[in-house]
Amino acid sequence: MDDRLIIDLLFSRSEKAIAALIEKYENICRRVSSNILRDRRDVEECLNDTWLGVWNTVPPEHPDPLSAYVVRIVKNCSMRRQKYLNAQKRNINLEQPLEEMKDFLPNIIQDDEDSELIIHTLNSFLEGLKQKDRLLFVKRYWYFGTIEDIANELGISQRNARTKLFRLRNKFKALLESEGVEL
Amino acid sequence: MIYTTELWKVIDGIDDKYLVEAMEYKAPKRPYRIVILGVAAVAACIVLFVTGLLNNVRLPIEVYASETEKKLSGVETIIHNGKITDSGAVTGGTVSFFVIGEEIEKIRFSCRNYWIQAADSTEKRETYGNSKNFTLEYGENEAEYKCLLVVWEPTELYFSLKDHDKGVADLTEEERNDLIVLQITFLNGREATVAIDIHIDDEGFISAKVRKYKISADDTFVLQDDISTPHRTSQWWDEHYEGYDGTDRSAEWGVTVENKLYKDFTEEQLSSIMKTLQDYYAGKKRKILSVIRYIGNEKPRGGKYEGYEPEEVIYFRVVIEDDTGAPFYVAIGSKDGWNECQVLSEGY
Repeated sequence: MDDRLIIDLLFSRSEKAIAALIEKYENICRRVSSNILRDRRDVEECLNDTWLGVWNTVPPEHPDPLSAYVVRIVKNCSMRRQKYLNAQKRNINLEQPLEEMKDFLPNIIQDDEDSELIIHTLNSFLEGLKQKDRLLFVKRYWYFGTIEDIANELGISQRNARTKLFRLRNKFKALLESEGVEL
Repeated sequence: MIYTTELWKVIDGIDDKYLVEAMEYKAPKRPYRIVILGVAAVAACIVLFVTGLLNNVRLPIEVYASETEKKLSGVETIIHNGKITDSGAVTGGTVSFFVIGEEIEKIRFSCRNYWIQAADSTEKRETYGNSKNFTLEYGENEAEYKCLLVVWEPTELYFSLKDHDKGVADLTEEERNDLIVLQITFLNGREATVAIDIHIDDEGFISAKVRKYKISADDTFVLQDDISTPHRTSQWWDEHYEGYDGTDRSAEWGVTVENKLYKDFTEEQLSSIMKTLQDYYAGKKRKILSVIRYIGNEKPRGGKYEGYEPEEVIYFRVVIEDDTGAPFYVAIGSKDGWNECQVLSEGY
Protein backbone atom coordinates (compact mmCIF):
# COMPACT_ATOMS: atom_id res chain seq x y z
CA MET A 1 0.00 0.00 0.00
CA ASP A 2 1.25 3.44 -0.84
CA ASP A 3 2.50 5.50 2.13
CA ARG A 4 0.06 8.29 1.33
CA LEU A 5 -2.85 5.88 1.71
CA ILE A 6 -1.51 4.64 5.03
CA ILE A 7 -1.24 8.21 6.26
CA ASP A 8 -4.77 8.91 5.08
CA LEU A 9 -5.96 5.90 7.08
CA LEU A 10 -4.09 7.18 10.12
CA PHE A 11 -5.61 10.62 9.77
CA SER A 12 -9.07 9.10 9.50
CA ARG A 13 -8.27 6.96 12.58
CA SER A 14 -9.04 3.76 10.74
CA GLU A 15 -7.84 0.56 12.37
CA LYS A 16 -6.81 -0.63 8.92
CA ALA A 17 -3.89 1.79 9.24
CA ILE A 18 -2.11 -0.42 11.79
CA ALA A 19 -2.63 -3.54 9.68
CA ALA A 20 -1.24 -1.67 6.68
CA LEU A 21 1.77 -0.44 8.67
CA ILE A 22 2.53 -3.94 9.88
CA GLU A 23 2.19 -5.47 6.47
CA LYS A 24 4.54 -2.98 4.90
CA TYR A 25 7.09 -2.32 7.62
CA GLU A 26 7.16 -5.28 9.97
CA ASN A 27 10.12 -6.97 8.29
CA ILE A 28 12.41 -3.96 8.23
CA CYS A 29 11.40 -2.92 11.74
CA ARG A 30 11.99 -6.40 13.08
CA ARG A 31 15.40 -6.43 11.51
CA VAL A 32 16.35 -3.01 12.91
CA SER A 33 15.19 -4.02 16.36
CA SER A 34 16.85 -7.44 16.21
CA ASN A 35 20.18 -5.81 15.43
CA ILE A 36 19.88 -4.05 18.78
CA LEU A 37 18.00 -6.48 21.02
CA ARG A 38 18.86 -10.13 21.42
CA ASP A 39 15.64 -11.35 22.94
CA ARG A 40 12.76 -11.97 20.58
CA ARG A 41 10.24 -10.96 23.24
CA ASP A 42 11.93 -7.59 23.62
CA VAL A 43 11.82 -7.16 19.84
CA GLU A 44 8.09 -7.96 19.78
CA GLU A 45 7.43 -5.42 22.51
CA CYS A 46 9.34 -2.76 20.60
CA LEU A 47 7.41 -3.52 17.44
CA ASN A 48 4.13 -3.14 19.30
CA ASP A 49 5.37 0.13 20.79
CA THR A 50 6.30 1.28 17.32
CA TRP A 51 2.84 0.75 15.81
CA LEU A 52 1.36 2.48 18.82
CA GLY A 53 3.90 5.26 18.52
CA VAL A 54 2.96 5.90 14.91
CA TRP A 55 -0.75 5.76 15.75
CA ASN A 56 -0.35 8.25 18.58
CA THR A 57 1.73 10.76 16.65
CA VAL A 58 0.14 10.69 13.21
CA PRO A 59 -1.71 13.05 13.18
CA PRO A 60 -0.64 15.72 13.90
CA GLU A 61 2.67 14.61 12.37
CA HIS A 62 2.61 14.13 8.63
CA PRO A 63 5.83 12.20 8.07
CA ASP A 64 7.43 12.12 4.67
CA PRO A 65 8.95 9.67 4.04
CA LEU A 66 6.88 7.45 6.32
CA SER A 67 9.45 4.64 6.11
CA ALA A 68 12.20 6.70 7.77
CA TYR A 69 9.73 7.89 10.44
CA VAL A 70 8.76 4.33 11.32
CA VAL A 71 12.32 2.96 11.49
CA ARG A 72 13.41 5.90 13.65
CA ILE A 73 10.65 5.08 16.13
CA VAL A 74 11.53 1.39 16.29
CA LYS A 75 15.21 2.15 16.62
CA ASN A 76 14.71 4.68 19.42
CA CYS A 77 12.43 2.27 21.21
CA SER A 78 14.95 -0.55 20.86
CA MET A 79 17.87 1.57 22.05
CA ARG A 80 15.89 2.71 25.11
CA ARG A 81 15.04 -0.87 25.90
CA GLN A 82 18.63 -2.01 25.39
CA LYS A 83 19.82 0.70 27.76
CA TYR A 84 17.32 -0.51 30.33
CA LEU A 85 18.37 -4.12 29.88
CA ASN A 86 22.03 -3.19 29.80
CA ALA A 87 24.30 -5.81 31.40
CA GLN A 88 21.65 -8.49 31.69
CA LYS A 89 21.24 -8.92 27.98
CA ARG A 90 24.29 -7.52 26.29
CA ASN A 91 24.38 -7.74 22.56
CA ILE A 92 27.80 -8.00 20.99
CA ASN A 93 26.30 -7.17 17.59
CA LEU A 94 25.42 -3.78 19.00
CA GLU A 95 28.55 -3.27 21.07
CA GLN A 96 30.92 -3.66 18.15
CA PRO A 97 29.57 -0.82 15.97
CA LEU A 98 29.17 1.39 19.05
CA GLU A 99 32.79 0.71 19.90
CA GLU A 100 33.82 1.55 16.33
CA MET A 101 31.90 4.82 16.55
CA LYS A 102 34.25 5.94 19.30
CA ASP A 103 36.93 6.04 16.59
CA PHE A 104 35.29 8.95 14.83
CA LEU A 105 33.08 10.72 17.34
CA PRO A 106 34.12 12.73 20.39
CA ASN A 107 33.72 11.24 23.85
CA ILE A 108 31.40 13.95 25.00
CA ILE A 109 29.38 16.36 22.92
CA GLN A 110 28.93 19.45 25.00
CA ASP A 111 26.03 21.25 23.46
CA ASP A 112 23.54 21.43 20.64
CA GLU A 113 25.88 23.55 18.55
CA ASP A 114 28.55 20.84 18.52
CA SER A 115 25.93 18.22 17.85
CA GLU A 116 24.54 20.15 14.89
CA LEU A 117 28.00 20.69 13.45
CA ILE A 118 28.70 16.96 13.61
CA ILE A 119 25.37 16.08 12.03
CA HIS A 120 25.84 18.66 9.27
CA THR A 121 29.34 17.35 8.59
CA LEU A 122 28.08 13.78 8.63
CA ASN A 123 25.36 14.42 6.07
CA SER A 124 27.81 16.29 3.83
CA PHE A 125 30.23 13.42 4.20
CA LEU A 126 27.58 10.90 3.21
CA GLU A 127 26.51 13.01 0.25
CA GLY A 128 30.04 12.91 -1.13
CA LEU A 129 30.45 9.14 -0.89
CA LYS A 130 29.90 6.54 -3.57
CA GLN A 131 26.60 4.78 -3.03
CA LYS A 132 28.08 1.51 -1.80
CA ASP A 133 30.33 3.27 0.69
CA ARG A 134 27.38 5.30 1.94
CA LEU A 135 25.22 2.22 2.27
CA LEU A 136 28.00 0.47 4.15
CA PHE A 137 28.33 3.34 6.62
CA VAL A 138 24.60 3.80 7.20
CA LYS A 139 23.86 0.11 7.46
CA ARG A 140 26.63 -0.32 10.01
CA TYR A 141 26.27 2.77 12.17
CA TRP A 142 22.59 3.56 11.95
CA TYR A 143 21.03 0.16 11.32
CA PHE A 144 23.74 -1.69 13.34
CA GLY A 145 23.91 -4.42 10.74
CA THR A 146 26.49 -7.17 11.21
CA ILE A 147 29.48 -7.23 8.88
CA GLU A 148 28.33 -10.58 7.57
CA ASP A 149 24.82 -9.34 6.68
CA ILE A 150 26.02 -6.07 5.18
CA ALA A 151 28.66 -7.81 3.07
CA ASN A 152 26.03 -10.21 1.74
CA GLU A 153 23.59 -7.39 0.95
CA LEU A 154 26.19 -5.37 -0.90
CA GLY A 155 27.78 -8.33 -2.66
CA ILE A 156 31.24 -7.81 -1.17
CA SER A 157 33.47 -9.94 1.06
CA GLN A 158 33.51 -9.46 4.82
CA ARG A 159 37.19 -8.55 4.64
CA ASN A 160 36.43 -5.88 2.04
CA ALA A 161 33.57 -4.54 4.20
CA ARG A 162 35.79 -4.24 7.26
CA THR A 163 38.59 -2.55 5.35
CA LYS A 164 36.23 -0.05 3.73
CA LEU A 165 34.59 0.77 7.06
CA PHE A 166 37.97 1.30 8.65
CA ARG A 167 38.92 3.76 5.91
CA LEU A 168 35.54 5.52 6.05
CA ARG A 169 35.86 6.03 9.79
CA ASN A 170 39.30 7.52 9.37
CA LYS A 171 38.10 9.74 6.56
CA PHE A 172 35.16 11.06 8.57
CA LYS A 173 37.35 11.55 11.61
CA ALA A 174 39.80 13.63 9.55
CA LEU A 175 36.89 15.66 8.18
CA LEU A 176 35.53 16.37 11.66
CA GLU A 177 38.94 17.42 12.89
CA SER A 178 39.30 19.77 9.94
CA GLU A 179 35.97 21.33 11.00
CA GLY A 180 37.44 22.01 14.39
CA VAL A 181 35.75 19.22 16.31
CA GLU A 182 38.03 17.88 19.00
CA LEU A 183 38.16 14.08 19.20
CA MET B 1 25.31 16.93 26.69
CA ILE B 2 25.77 13.62 24.95
CA TYR B 3 28.10 11.01 26.40
CA THR B 4 30.05 8.18 24.82
CA THR B 5 27.30 5.68 25.61
CA GLU B 6 24.81 7.75 23.63
CA LEU B 7 26.81 8.39 20.47
CA TRP B 8 24.10 6.72 18.47
CA LYS B 9 21.97 9.79 19.10
CA VAL B 10 24.38 11.86 17.04
CA ILE B 11 24.24 9.40 14.17
CA ASP B 12 20.46 9.64 14.42
CA GLY B 13 20.78 12.99 12.69
CA ILE B 14 21.45 11.24 9.40
CA ASP B 15 19.13 12.59 6.73
CA ASP B 16 16.01 10.51 6.04
CA LYS B 17 16.93 10.04 2.39
CA TYR B 18 19.96 7.96 3.38
CA LEU B 19 17.89 5.76 5.67
CA VAL B 20 15.40 5.18 2.86
CA GLU B 21 18.21 4.51 0.36
CA ALA B 22 19.67 1.86 2.68
CA MET B 23 16.26 0.34 3.33
CA GLU B 24 15.33 0.07 -0.33
CA TYR B 25 18.70 -0.91 -1.81
CA LYS B 26 18.80 -4.18 -3.65
CA ALA B 27 22.07 -5.47 -5.07
CA PRO B 28 21.91 -5.56 -8.87
CA LYS B 29 21.23 -9.01 -10.30
CA ARG B 30 23.97 -10.59 -12.34
CA PRO B 31 23.41 -10.34 -16.09
CA TYR B 32 21.40 -13.22 -17.45
CA ARG B 33 23.46 -15.46 -19.58
CA ILE B 34 22.35 -18.21 -21.79
CA VAL B 35 24.23 -21.33 -20.87
CA ILE B 36 24.22 -24.41 -22.93
CA LEU B 37 23.73 -26.67 -19.94
CA GLY B 38 24.44 -29.96 -21.56
CA VAL B 39 27.82 -29.03 -23.01
CA ALA B 40 28.79 -27.04 -19.94
CA ALA B 41 27.92 -29.92 -17.65
CA VAL B 42 29.92 -32.42 -19.68
CA ALA B 43 32.89 -30.05 -19.84
CA ALA B 44 32.75 -29.49 -16.09
CA CYS B 45 32.69 -33.20 -15.41
CA ILE B 46 35.71 -33.77 -17.60
CA VAL B 47 37.65 -31.03 -15.83
CA LEU B 48 36.69 -32.36 -12.41
CA PHE B 49 37.59 -35.92 -13.39
CA VAL B 50 40.96 -34.95 -14.83
CA THR B 51 41.96 -32.93 -11.77
CA GLY B 52 40.73 -35.69 -9.47
CA LEU B 53 38.21 -33.51 -7.73
CA LEU B 54 35.13 -35.60 -8.46
CA ASN B 55 35.71 -37.77 -5.42
CA ASN B 56 37.11 -35.04 -3.22
CA VAL B 57 34.71 -32.10 -3.40
CA ARG B 58 33.78 -32.30 0.27
CA LEU B 59 36.41 -31.82 2.94
CA PRO B 60 37.18 -35.04 4.83
CA ILE B 61 36.92 -33.30 8.22
CA GLU B 62 35.30 -30.23 9.75
CA VAL B 63 37.27 -27.51 11.49
CA TYR B 64 35.73 -25.29 14.14
CA ALA B 65 37.00 -22.12 15.81
CA SER B 66 36.82 -23.11 19.46
CA GLU B 67 36.09 -19.66 20.89
CA THR B 68 33.11 -18.92 18.66
CA GLU B 69 32.30 -22.57 17.82
CA LYS B 70 31.87 -21.41 14.23
CA LYS B 71 32.53 -23.99 11.57
CA LEU B 72 35.15 -22.85 9.11
CA SER B 73 34.29 -22.94 5.44
CA GLY B 74 35.88 -21.91 2.17
CA VAL B 75 34.82 -18.33 2.94
CA GLU B 76 36.72 -16.25 5.50
CA THR B 77 34.99 -16.19 8.85
CA ILE B 78 35.85 -14.14 11.91
CA ILE B 79 36.95 -16.75 14.41
CA HIS B 80 37.76 -14.76 17.47
CA ASN B 81 35.80 -12.42 19.74
CA GLY B 82 38.80 -10.20 20.40
CA LYS B 83 41.54 -8.79 18.23
CA ILE B 84 45.25 -8.01 18.06
CA THR B 85 45.88 -4.43 19.10
CA ASP B 86 48.48 -1.99 17.83
CA SER B 87 50.45 -2.54 21.04
CA GLY B 88 50.68 -6.26 20.35
CA ALA B 89 48.19 -7.37 23.00
CA VAL B 90 45.45 -9.85 22.19
CA THR B 91 42.01 -9.16 23.60
CA GLY B 92 39.57 -12.02 24.06
CA GLY B 93 40.59 -15.65 24.45
CA THR B 94 42.98 -17.81 22.44
CA VAL B 95 42.81 -18.31 18.70
CA SER B 96 42.27 -22.04 18.58
CA PHE B 97 40.59 -24.77 16.57
CA PHE B 98 39.28 -28.26 16.96
CA VAL B 99 38.63 -30.88 14.31
CA ILE B 100 35.56 -33.06 13.99
CA GLY B 101 35.54 -36.11 11.76
CA GLU B 102 35.04 -39.84 11.58
CA GLU B 103 37.60 -42.44 12.57
CA ILE B 104 40.65 -40.20 12.62
CA GLU B 105 43.82 -41.91 13.74
CA LYS B 106 46.07 -38.87 13.91
CA ILE B 107 46.69 -35.44 12.42
CA ARG B 108 50.06 -33.86 11.86
CA PHE B 109 49.84 -30.08 12.11
CA SER B 110 52.40 -27.75 10.53
CA CYS B 111 52.47 -23.96 10.82
CA ARG B 112 54.19 -21.83 8.21
CA ASN B 113 54.95 -18.41 9.70
CA TYR B 114 54.20 -18.54 13.43
CA TRP B 115 53.59 -21.23 16.08
CA ILE B 116 51.01 -23.73 17.16
CA GLN B 117 50.32 -25.47 20.46
CA ALA B 118 48.28 -28.54 21.28
CA ALA B 119 46.05 -28.96 24.32
CA ASP B 120 44.03 -31.97 25.42
CA SER B 121 41.47 -31.43 28.15
CA THR B 122 41.10 -35.21 28.54
CA GLU B 123 44.81 -35.26 29.53
CA LYS B 124 45.33 -38.55 27.75
CA ARG B 125 47.69 -37.51 25.00
CA GLU B 126 51.07 -35.93 24.55
CA THR B 127 50.58 -32.20 23.99
CA TYR B 128 52.84 -29.41 22.87
CA GLY B 129 53.97 -25.89 23.61
CA ASN B 130 55.05 -23.47 20.87
CA SER B 131 55.92 -25.68 17.92
CA LYS B 132 56.19 -25.64 14.16
CA ASN B 133 54.97 -29.22 13.75
CA PHE B 134 53.46 -31.92 15.91
CA THR B 135 51.25 -34.95 15.57
CA LEU B 136 48.12 -35.23 17.65
CA GLU B 137 46.65 -38.68 18.29
CA TYR B 138 42.85 -38.83 17.85
CA GLY B 139 41.69 -42.46 18.14
CA GLU B 140 38.39 -44.27 18.13
CA ASN B 141 36.54 -42.13 20.67
CA GLU B 142 35.15 -39.40 18.42
CA ALA B 143 33.52 -37.64 21.38
CA GLU B 144 37.01 -36.63 22.50
CA TYR B 145 37.94 -34.90 19.27
CA LYS B 146 36.36 -31.66 20.46
CA CYS B 147 38.71 -31.72 23.49
CA LEU B 148 41.81 -31.52 21.32
CA LEU B 149 42.61 -27.90 20.72
CA VAL B 150 45.24 -26.48 18.41
CA VAL B 151 46.17 -22.96 19.46
CA TRP B 152 47.66 -20.50 17.01
CA GLU B 153 50.33 -18.26 18.54
CA PRO B 154 51.81 -15.43 16.42
CA THR B 155 54.46 -14.69 19.06
CA GLU B 156 56.83 -12.74 16.80
CA LEU B 157 53.93 -10.58 15.71
CA TYR B 158 53.31 -9.40 19.27
CA PHE B 159 56.95 -8.33 19.55
CA SER B 160 56.96 -6.80 16.10
CA LEU B 161 54.01 -4.59 17.00
CA LYS B 162 55.27 -3.71 20.44
CA ASP B 163 58.90 -3.05 19.66
CA HIS B 164 58.75 -1.47 16.22
CA ASP B 165 56.29 1.33 16.71
CA LYS B 166 53.92 0.22 13.97
CA GLY B 167 50.27 -0.66 13.95
CA VAL B 168 48.28 -3.62 12.75
CA ALA B 169 47.35 -1.68 9.62
CA ASP B 170 51.07 -1.49 8.73
CA LEU B 171 51.68 -5.23 8.82
CA THR B 172 53.08 -6.84 5.69
CA GLU B 173 51.19 -9.57 3.86
CA GLU B 174 53.49 -12.18 5.33
CA GLU B 175 52.98 -10.87 8.87
CA ARG B 176 49.19 -10.77 8.63
CA ASN B 177 48.70 -14.18 7.00
CA ASP B 178 49.55 -17.68 8.09
CA LEU B 179 48.87 -21.23 6.99
CA ILE B 180 48.34 -24.35 9.07
CA VAL B 181 48.49 -27.62 7.14
CA LEU B 182 46.73 -30.71 8.49
CA GLN B 183 47.94 -34.11 7.30
CA ILE B 184 45.15 -36.45 8.32
CA THR B 185 45.46 -40.21 8.69
CA PHE B 186 42.24 -42.14 9.21
CA LEU B 187 41.90 -45.41 11.05
CA ASN B 188 41.41 -47.26 7.78
CA GLY B 189 44.71 -45.95 6.46
CA ARG B 190 43.25 -43.34 4.16
CA GLU B 191 45.08 -40.01 4.10
CA ALA B 192 43.99 -36.47 3.28
CA THR B 193 45.44 -32.97 3.53
CA VAL B 194 43.60 -29.81 4.50
CA ALA B 195 44.84 -26.27 5.18
CA ILE B 196 43.61 -23.44 7.40
CA ASP B 197 44.33 -19.94 6.09
CA ILE B 198 44.50 -17.34 8.85
CA HIS B 199 44.29 -13.64 8.17
CA ILE B 200 44.54 -10.50 10.32
CA ASP B 201 42.78 -7.43 8.94
CA ASP B 202 43.75 -3.77 9.37
CA GLU B 203 41.88 -3.53 12.64
CA GLY B 204 43.35 -6.69 14.14
CA PHE B 205 40.34 -8.96 13.69
CA ILE B 206 41.30 -12.55 12.94
CA SER B 207 39.53 -14.62 10.33
CA ALA B 208 40.13 -18.04 8.85
CA LYS B 209 38.97 -20.38 6.13
CA VAL B 210 39.63 -24.01 5.37
CA ARG B 211 40.33 -25.74 2.08
CA LYS B 212 41.74 -28.89 0.57
CA TYR B 213 45.48 -28.68 0.16
CA LYS B 214 48.25 -30.31 -1.84
CA ILE B 215 51.73 -30.22 -0.32
CA SER B 216 54.42 -29.04 -2.70
CA ALA B 217 58.20 -29.12 -2.62
CA ASP B 218 58.14 -25.47 -1.54
CA ASP B 219 56.34 -26.32 1.70
CA THR B 220 59.52 -26.80 3.69
CA PHE B 221 57.65 -26.05 6.92
CA VAL B 222 55.66 -29.25 6.33
CA LEU B 223 58.43 -31.42 4.92
CA GLN B 224 60.90 -30.73 7.77
CA ASP B 225 61.26 -33.00 10.79
CA ASP B 226 59.02 -32.01 13.67
CA ILE B 227 60.04 -28.90 15.55
CA SER B 228 58.07 -29.10 18.76
CA THR B 229 58.24 -28.24 22.44
CA PRO B 230 56.63 -30.54 24.96
CA HIS B 231 54.08 -29.04 27.28
CA ARG B 232 55.35 -28.51 30.80
CA THR B 233 53.30 -31.00 32.77
CA SER B 234 53.12 -30.81 36.53
CA GLN B 235 55.22 -33.96 36.61
CA TRP B 236 57.96 -32.12 34.74
CA TRP B 237 57.85 -29.30 37.26
CA ASP B 238 57.90 -31.70 40.19
CA GLU B 239 60.94 -33.44 38.77
CA HIS B 240 62.75 -30.17 38.30
CA TYR B 241 61.76 -28.64 41.60
CA GLU B 242 62.15 -31.44 44.10
CA GLY B 243 62.07 -30.59 47.72
CA TYR B 244 59.76 -27.62 47.48
CA ASP B 245 58.30 -27.12 50.91
CA GLY B 246 54.95 -25.75 49.75
CA THR B 247 55.25 -22.42 51.51
CA ASP B 248 52.84 -19.99 49.95
CA ARG B 249 53.64 -16.38 50.48
CA SER B 250 50.88 -15.13 48.18
CA ALA B 251 49.03 -13.51 51.07
CA GLU B 252 52.02 -11.32 51.77
CA TRP B 253 51.63 -9.52 48.47
CA GLY B 254 47.91 -10.06 47.95
CA VAL B 255 48.80 -11.75 44.66
CA THR B 256 48.74 -15.37 43.56
CA VAL B 257 52.33 -16.21 42.80
CA GLU B 258 53.31 -19.38 40.99
CA ASN B 259 54.90 -21.89 43.32
CA LYS B 260 58.02 -22.32 41.26
CA LEU B 261 59.08 -18.76 41.83
CA TYR B 262 59.75 -19.62 45.47
CA LYS B 263 62.32 -22.15 44.34
CA ASP B 264 64.00 -19.89 41.83
CA PHE B 265 64.52 -16.95 44.17
CA THR B 266 65.32 -16.29 47.79
CA GLU B 267 62.73 -14.57 49.90
CA GLU B 268 64.57 -11.25 49.62
CA GLN B 269 64.92 -11.54 45.84
CA LEU B 270 61.27 -12.41 45.38
CA SER B 271 60.22 -9.53 47.60
CA SER B 272 62.34 -7.21 45.47
CA ILE B 273 60.75 -8.48 42.27
CA MET B 274 57.21 -8.26 43.63
CA LYS B 275 57.80 -4.76 44.95
CA THR B 276 59.11 -3.69 41.56
CA LEU B 277 55.98 -5.05 39.87
CA GLN B 278 53.61 -3.55 42.39
CA ASP B 279 55.26 -0.14 42.24
CA TYR B 280 55.12 -0.26 38.47
CA TYR B 281 51.43 -1.10 38.34
CA ALA B 282 50.48 1.13 41.24
CA GLY B 283 51.35 4.03 38.98
CA LYS B 284 49.00 2.63 36.36
CA LYS B 285 46.24 2.02 38.90
CA ARG B 286 45.94 -1.66 38.07
CA LYS B 287 45.65 -4.55 40.45
CA ILE B 288 47.88 -7.54 39.88
CA LEU B 289 45.97 -10.77 40.25
CA SER B 290 48.69 -13.34 39.62
CA VAL B 291 52.30 -13.65 38.57
CA ILE B 292 53.92 -16.67 37.01
CA ARG B 293 57.20 -17.14 35.34
CA TYR B 294 56.82 -17.13 31.60
CA ILE B 295 56.99 -20.65 30.27
CA GLY B 296 58.12 -20.71 26.66
CA ASN B 297 61.03 -22.10 24.79
CA GLU B 298 64.22 -22.89 26.65
CA LYS B 299 65.93 -19.68 25.65
CA PRO B 300 64.58 -16.36 26.80
CA ARG B 301 62.41 -14.94 24.09
CA GLY B 302 61.80 -11.44 23.02
CA GLY B 303 63.88 -8.43 22.20
CA LYS B 304 67.33 -7.79 23.57
CA TYR B 305 67.67 -5.15 26.26
CA GLU B 306 70.64 -2.84 26.10
CA GLY B 307 73.04 -3.45 28.95
CA TYR B 308 71.45 -6.75 30.01
CA GLU B 309 72.62 -10.28 29.31
CA PRO B 310 69.85 -12.78 28.54
CA GLU B 311 70.20 -14.42 31.94
CA GLU B 312 69.70 -11.04 33.59
CA VAL B 313 66.20 -10.71 32.14
CA ILE B 314 63.18 -12.72 33.17
CA TYR B 315 59.76 -12.61 31.56
CA PHE B 316 56.74 -12.81 33.81
CA ARG B 317 53.20 -13.46 32.80
CA VAL B 318 51.14 -11.03 34.82
CA VAL B 319 47.36 -11.10 34.94
CA ILE B 320 45.89 -7.79 36.01
CA GLU B 321 42.39 -6.69 36.73
CA ASP B 322 41.25 -4.76 33.68
CA ASP B 323 38.55 -4.94 31.09
CA THR B 324 40.30 -7.25 28.67
CA GLY B 325 41.29 -9.99 31.11
CA ALA B 326 44.29 -10.61 28.89
CA PRO B 327 47.68 -11.37 30.45
CA PHE B 328 50.58 -8.98 30.14
CA TYR B 329 54.09 -10.22 29.63
CA VAL B 330 56.49 -8.14 31.69
CA ALA B 331 60.25 -8.20 31.28
CA ILE B 332 62.17 -7.51 34.47
CA GLY B 333 65.93 -7.14 34.51
CA SER B 334 68.49 -7.06 37.26
CA LYS B 335 72.21 -6.38 37.23
CA ASP B 336 72.84 -7.42 40.81
CA GLY B 337 71.30 -10.85 41.23
CA TRP B 338 67.74 -9.73 41.79
CA ASN B 339 68.37 -7.68 44.87
CA GLU B 340 67.30 -4.68 42.84
CA CYS B 341 65.47 -4.88 39.53
CA GLN B 342 63.65 -2.81 36.95
CA VAL B 343 60.72 -3.31 34.62
CA LEU B 344 62.19 -3.20 31.11
CA SER B 345 59.02 -3.63 29.07
CA GLU B 346 55.44 -4.80 29.36
CA GLY B 347 52.19 -5.14 27.54
CA TYR B 348 52.82 -7.64 24.75
